[in-house]
Amino acid sequence: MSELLSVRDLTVRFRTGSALSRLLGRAGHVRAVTDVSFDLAQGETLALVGESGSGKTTLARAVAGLAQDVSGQVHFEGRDILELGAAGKQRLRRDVAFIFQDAVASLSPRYTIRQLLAEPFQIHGVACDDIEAEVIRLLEMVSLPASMADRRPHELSGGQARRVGVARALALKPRLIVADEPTAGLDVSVQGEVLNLLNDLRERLGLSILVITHNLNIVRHVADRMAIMYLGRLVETGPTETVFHDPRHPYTAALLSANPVVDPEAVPERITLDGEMPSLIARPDGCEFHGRCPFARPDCATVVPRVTADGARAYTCRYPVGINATTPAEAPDEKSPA
Amino acid sequence: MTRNTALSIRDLSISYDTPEGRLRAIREVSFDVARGGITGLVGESGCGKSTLMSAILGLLDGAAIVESGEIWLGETDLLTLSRGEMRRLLGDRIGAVFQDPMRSLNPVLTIGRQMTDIQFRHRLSRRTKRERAIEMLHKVRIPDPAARLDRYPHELSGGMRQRVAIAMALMAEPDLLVADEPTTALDATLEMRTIELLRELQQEIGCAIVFITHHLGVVSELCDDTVIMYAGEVVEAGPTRALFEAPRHPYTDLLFACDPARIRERSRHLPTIPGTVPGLIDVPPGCVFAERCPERFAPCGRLHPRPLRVRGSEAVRCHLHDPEVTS
Repeated sequence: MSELLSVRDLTVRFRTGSALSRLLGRAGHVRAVTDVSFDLAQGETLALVGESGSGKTTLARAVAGLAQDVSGQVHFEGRDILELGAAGKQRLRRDVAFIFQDAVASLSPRYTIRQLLAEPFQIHGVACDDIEAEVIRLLEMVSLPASMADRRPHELSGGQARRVGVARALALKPRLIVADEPTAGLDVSVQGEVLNLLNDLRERLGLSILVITHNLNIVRHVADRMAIMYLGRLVETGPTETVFHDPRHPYTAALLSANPVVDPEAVPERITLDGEMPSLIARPDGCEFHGRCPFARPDCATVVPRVTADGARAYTCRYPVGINATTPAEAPDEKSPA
Repeated sequence: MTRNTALSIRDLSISYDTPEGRLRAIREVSFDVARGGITGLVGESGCGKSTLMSAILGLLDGAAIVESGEIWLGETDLLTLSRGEMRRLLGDRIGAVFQDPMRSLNPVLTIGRQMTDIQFRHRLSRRTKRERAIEMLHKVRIPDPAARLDRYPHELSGGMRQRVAIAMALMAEPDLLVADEPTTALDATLEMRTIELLRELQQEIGCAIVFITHHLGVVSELCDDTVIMYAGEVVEAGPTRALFEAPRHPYTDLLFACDPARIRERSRHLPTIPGTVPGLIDVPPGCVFAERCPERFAPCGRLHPRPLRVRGSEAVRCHLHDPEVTS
């Protein structure tokens, strides 16, 4: 598989508000995304997992060339997008399409579905001989009847609105789809419909998908690989099944063990995390997870862990779960992902 | 209505007048929430969960018409109360937690100000109210609660904000807490902690909880009873354990089968329920699920099923279990 997207040492910074920085006695920046590296092959689905505020959406925006203060490299089909000029960025936005969390809110209520589906062509100045045929083709692609074209967003159900969001994303034949919580708020059967649709399109059109979610159950089914984010860093990346079966980073292990089990009889063994995710303004020394890590050792507070590459996976922990004999080797998460 | 029931909903039907006709949002909904019990309310968007919640909280909008039914909170039928009487109950005997804590907290007031303001019913000194607020924050495990009181909502993390919202809802030690997808925006570890916290607080305060969610895993871990809604009706209700072990209604069965958490083998193609929800302006005369039901037989299309008590489940609306209905 060829890499469609290759990200190296990506850091995204935000300037902190002047009032706040004065208050804290420090002006400057916070790093919302720090030293992130990953690859995404053509036709592959990568899931980005992490709690709110961990930098998932900022990372996705940076990949699409939508972030301001960025360093590192983001190669999309071989070009470094951080070097692109305005015209190049405009072109990139055709290749990278977004599907947003709140499908109804992302569609203008004043437009009909026909207008909404024609809009991308107008914005990007793409000549289109027969816009009506194009609209119908897009609706067909997401299995909606052509009669939908005259409806307005509020007349659609949640699942239908999401299909329109997908159709709109597909309009300009993108290479990469960034789906930010594509199924939040949907019940399980409609969720399955949306995920199946994305998967069919991936197979048919050879799309790559970057899916941002905190629903681990869907990650397990749809993602080829997963990346776990904590405080703006990727703490673990690897093939989904490997990570689920045998997580290395304690945060991953805790996350997987917390996934609720649909079995009232089961008493899952959980790894509980104390405290809160630290503030980006005051990042902890050493390993940034050490304050909450149930397996932390004294030197974790001082020594910054490096990325350990291990075959197809990589993790940022000096005492990975399940490897060192002195760490709790019997991974307590063994049954919960099932 | 027995003494062990905190909330009892009886034959509740609510409609909305729309330009296209009368939309019958919920129909003949009945279920009980035990005192100190947790009831999970499950159903897809548009099934009437929000209408039901608004009715319990007295927040129905102007276009809503209560066609029939009663909502008993202890000895009071909430539907007979005046606006003023209802307002006195809210925040006192009924608390609520919503999906997005940022929307239920005022962004321009400190946490402390909001937590003392909410105690307006009590004739206590400002200092005592502040102490109670600290105590409550401590209970919801907010570290360093005294210092947090002077913070604004945006200075807290998502998980903390939701716990502040829970603290505020439980401050008055209500009889009933309505929680509308309170963990949807949280990651798995925070979700679990929020759920454990809710259960602990609930045991301490002894309030009943109506927990609305899409997340079947959360229901099976947290809730004593489960109510499954489809297209405005309760299709099945009963104790969680029995219901998850052996769902009696075909919809419940199919819904559970769609849950990716229950599918042990990794699969790229997830199961779905073919077909769509019927329109609620012209509600079908028979079973609301008949059109999509793989087990439908002759009477399903014309006869509306009655709620039946079938082993495990307390109310199942399905002809398959009705000995009096034969094809």
